[in-house]
Amino acid sequence: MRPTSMGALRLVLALGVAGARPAAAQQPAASSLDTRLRSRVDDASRSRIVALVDSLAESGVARAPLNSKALEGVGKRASGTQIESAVRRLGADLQRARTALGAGAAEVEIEAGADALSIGVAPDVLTKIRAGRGNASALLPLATLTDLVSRGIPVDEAARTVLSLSARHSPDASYREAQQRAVTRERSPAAPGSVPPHAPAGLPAGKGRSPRP
Amino acid sequence: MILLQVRRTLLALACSIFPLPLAAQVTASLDAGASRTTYADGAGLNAFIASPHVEFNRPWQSLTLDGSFAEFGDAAWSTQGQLRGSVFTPAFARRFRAELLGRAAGTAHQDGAQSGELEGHARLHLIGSHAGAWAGAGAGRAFNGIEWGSEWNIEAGAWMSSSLGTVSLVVTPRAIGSDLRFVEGELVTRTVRGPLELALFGGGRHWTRPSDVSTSLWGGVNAALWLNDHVAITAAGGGYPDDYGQGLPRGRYLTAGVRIATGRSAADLRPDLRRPELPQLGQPVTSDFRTRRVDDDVILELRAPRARAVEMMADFTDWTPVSLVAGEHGWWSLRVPVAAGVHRINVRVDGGAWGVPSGVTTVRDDFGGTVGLIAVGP
Repeated sequence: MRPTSMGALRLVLALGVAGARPAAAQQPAASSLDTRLRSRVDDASRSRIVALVDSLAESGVARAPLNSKALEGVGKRASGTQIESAVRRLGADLQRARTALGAGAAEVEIEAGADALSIGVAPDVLTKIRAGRGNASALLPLATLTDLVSRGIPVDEAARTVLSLSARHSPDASYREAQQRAVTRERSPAAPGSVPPHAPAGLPAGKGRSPRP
Repeated sequence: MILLQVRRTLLALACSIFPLPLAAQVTASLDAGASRTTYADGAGLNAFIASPHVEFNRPWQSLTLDGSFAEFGDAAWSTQGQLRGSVFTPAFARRFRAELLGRAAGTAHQDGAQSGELEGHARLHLIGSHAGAWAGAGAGRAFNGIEWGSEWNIEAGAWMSSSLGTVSLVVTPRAIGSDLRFVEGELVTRTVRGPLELALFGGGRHWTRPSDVSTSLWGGVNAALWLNDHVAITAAGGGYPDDYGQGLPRGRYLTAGVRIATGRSAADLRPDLRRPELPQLGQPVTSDFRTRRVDDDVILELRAPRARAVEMMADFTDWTPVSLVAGEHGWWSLRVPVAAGVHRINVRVDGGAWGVPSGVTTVRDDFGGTVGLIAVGP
C-alpha cells in the first residue's frame, strides 16, 4: 500500500506529467463500442458511427478517445445523431490539436489540446505552448488553460497567463497557483457595488454626526 | 412561540452563513501604509493604517471580514470593522440565482465615539456569459453615535466583462430614517494589465427629501502594482460621500502602502471591486471531491451527506454507472483502477441528473450537459 493524497481535484493539482501513462491505455475496445451502440441506437446510426471512428482512426486520430466519446453518449442516452456529431467534432479537434502541437506530441497532449480547442482556444496558442515547453510535456499548461477558461477567465487572459508561465519555464506549482486564483475569482460571488463602496476600506472613518444635507 | 420560531430561523440562517467548513477557499491580505484624509469639516489627519482582510468562499456561501486600525500622530487612534456573509441558491430558470446577504459594520474611536450598522439584503442575479444584472432590496438599523435609526434601500445594477476589464453600474434609492431620501448611482471600472490593477469609480447622489439639496459627486482611483503573487504596492486617491446612517462625514484621501496577500485575488482592489459573479456550467452535484492513489488503483471520494445513493460514470468505467460506497461523515468512495492522465467523469445523486462534483473542471459534454475533467497522477 502506498496511499498518496492528491488533494482536492483541481485539474492540474494531481497531474503527474512525467511518466504518466496515457489514459487511453484503458479505453474501451471497438467491439465494446459496437455492442454498446447496438443497445442504444438504431443500426443505421451505429454503422455510421463505427464507420466514422474507423475513418478518423485511419487518418491518424487516436481511436480510444473517439470510442470513449461514443460510449459517453450511450451512457447519457444521447441519440445516434448526437453521438455521431460529438464524435465528428472530437475527431476534428484532435486533428487540429495534433497539427497545432506538432508530430511529436504525445496522445495525452493531443487530447488535452483538443479539450482546449473545444472551448475556444486558438490553435496558435497550442503551438506556442508546445514550443515554450521544449522537451517537457505540454500537458500541464494545456490542462491549466482549459481549467482557467472553464472557470470563466476570458480565453485571451487565460492564454496570456499560461503562455507567460510557459515562457518563463515556471515550475508546476506556478500553474497550480494560477488555477487557484481562478478558483477564487470564480467563487467570489458578490456582485460589484453590492454594498456601496464609498470610503475605501482602511481609511480612518471620521467621527461625529455628519452634517444635515 | 413566534419569538421561538424567529430565533430558530435566525439561528438556521446564521449557521448556513457563518460556520464555513475548513474546506472553504480562504484568502487573506494585510495592507499597511500611510494616509492623508481631509474630512468635511476641514479637519485633516495623517495616519498610519493597518487593514486586514479575510475571505472565506464556497460555491454557495461567502464570508468577508474587513478591519482597520489607524494610528494618528498624536497617539490617537480609530478602528473600524465589517463582517459580511452571503448565501446563494443554485441556479434556476438557467440564468438566475438568488442571494441573501447580511452585513454588520462599526467604528470606534479613542475618545469613546462609536457608530454601527446592521443590514440585510435580498437579491436576484441574472447571469450571462459576459454581462449580467441584479436587483434587490435591503433594510437595516444604524447607530450614528447618538441614536439608532432605520434605513432601507432598493438597488438595480448591471455589469459587463470583456478582455479590457469589468464595468458595473448600480443605482440605489435610499431612505434614512423618516426624513432623508436620495438616489445614488455609482459606476465602477476595473482592469488588469500584467502586474497592474487599476480601478476607477465615480458616483453621484441626488436628493429627493429634502429636495433643495444640491447633488453631490465623488470619485477616485485605486491602483495596485504586484511585485509578485503575494506583495503589491498600493496607492489610492479620491473622495467619498457622507454616510448618514452611521453619521460619518465625507472626506478626501490619499493613501500609499504595501499589501501582503495569500494571492493576487485576496482583497483585490478596493473599494469593493470584486469580479462579478461568473456563469457556471451546470451546478456541482456534490460538495468536496478528492482522490487518493493506492497502488494501481485510485480511490475517488466525494461528499454528499444527505444522499441515499451516489453513482459515477467515467471514461475509466466505460461510461457505465458504478455505485459509490457510503462512508463516515457523508463521504462516498469508489476504488477503481485508473491510468495516469486526464479523465472525464460524471456523478449523480439519488438517481438525479448527471453532473460534476464541486471544484472539478467543468466543460460542456456535447450531449446537452456537462462533464468534469480530472487529472490522476502516476
